[in-house]
Amino acid sequence: MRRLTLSGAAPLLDPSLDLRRIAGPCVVDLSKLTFATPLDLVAMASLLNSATAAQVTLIPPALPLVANYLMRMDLVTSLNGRVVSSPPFPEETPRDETPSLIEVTCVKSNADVQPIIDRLMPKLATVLPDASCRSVFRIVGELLENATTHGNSESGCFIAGQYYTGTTSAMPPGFWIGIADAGIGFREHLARNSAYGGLRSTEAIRKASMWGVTGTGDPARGLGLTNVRRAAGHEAPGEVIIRSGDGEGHFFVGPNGATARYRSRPSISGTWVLALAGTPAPAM
Amino acid sequence: MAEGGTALRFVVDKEFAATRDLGRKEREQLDALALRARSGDVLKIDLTGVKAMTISFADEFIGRFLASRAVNDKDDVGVLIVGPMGEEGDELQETLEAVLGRRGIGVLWTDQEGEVTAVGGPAWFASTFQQALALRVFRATDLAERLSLSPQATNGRLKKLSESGAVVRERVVPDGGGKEFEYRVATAAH
Repeated sequence: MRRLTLSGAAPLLDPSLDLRRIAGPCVVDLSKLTFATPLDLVAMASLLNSATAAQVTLIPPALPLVANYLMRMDLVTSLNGRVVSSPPFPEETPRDETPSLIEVTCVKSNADVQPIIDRLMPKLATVLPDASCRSVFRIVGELLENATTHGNSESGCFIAGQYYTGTTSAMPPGFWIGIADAGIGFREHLARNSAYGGLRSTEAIRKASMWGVTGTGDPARGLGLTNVRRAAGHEAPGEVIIRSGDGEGHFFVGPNGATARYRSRPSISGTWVLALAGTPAPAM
Repeated sequence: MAEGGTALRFVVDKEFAATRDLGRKEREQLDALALRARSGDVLKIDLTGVKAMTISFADEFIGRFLASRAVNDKDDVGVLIVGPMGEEGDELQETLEAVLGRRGIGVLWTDQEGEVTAVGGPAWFASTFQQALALRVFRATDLAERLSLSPQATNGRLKKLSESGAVVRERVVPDGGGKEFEYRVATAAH
């Protein structure tokens, strides 16, 4: 039986994990998990919901705060019936309805995106300045557009987000957004345009991040990822990490420009994105 | 040509407009309004309630709407975008600039104070519209004279300006017979 152990902080950014689609009987062990970013939440949701195994056993985090956080962020309720927690997650403590969170949400189609935006933005507007709201919106809107129109993920895509001041998490301050799908990935999407066939994953991520590059063949498209990067660094330094197939692109963006780093990673199914909309100062 | 057609207002009722799906729905409603427009009218696309839009929405809604005008030679109805002022307006214009730049189309943007900005389009789009604005209602020869351009070059620019809805083109019959076109800037609509 395959066993996937996610331990420590932000484990799904760890390059050593074998994260291919879960095909056979499997145990996903979160008992040593100490911290989860929005990317960890959505990547877990995507991995577990796209598993083809008849049953996946999920071992909850041993730390009550971490287990409670996964429930607070609706990760546990986002999992399909093939995922069984053993032992069960403890009962969730009464929720604080802080508006600076985006709970794990499954997005099945492009038509689902606008209703999610309509629910999300008024909530964020109560805690984020207008400019930060617009940046978060541009990131969420463009990434969900891409995932729902190009991803072709049978299990849909997942979004989660949280504002971090950085004081307790050591995360760079700003609004962090995770979006993950188990679809075709950048390489296969771009290969639909003959101009971009035969690329490795890292090359596909690099190409797709350039202005006007698209797998659709429509010369007016291919602008969304550039918009995501601009939005991330619009107010203060931000970041965008894209993992797709066996490639990764890490973009550090700010008002004065961007720096990119590309490298190979163990392969994943589909595409995972972690984006930080940098904010100039703690908003709360 | 009568001085100023009727302004038909199309209001986008979303603070945050995100998807191609929504863009397509808005465009279909705008197309329906455009069908009801008479020659000389101006469509005012009201974005004053919009705080932000994605590239995808902007392209599916406004990019494709303007592109279809060029394909269909729909040049007797003007188009004007009315948007918010301040940072929101600047960011919306940047988004439009990106979308329209890819399509080689320009459009006129005006804010609540009436200041007119040319967004997107070829390098000459803004300066040529400025000369047209000084004339308000004119014929191609009038504009050619102001621009010191050949009639052919001026007609090429007027074709782009009228496809984008920045000027409205209408056929007139001169005193001596034949056919001629008269142009009016879209901002002259009531």
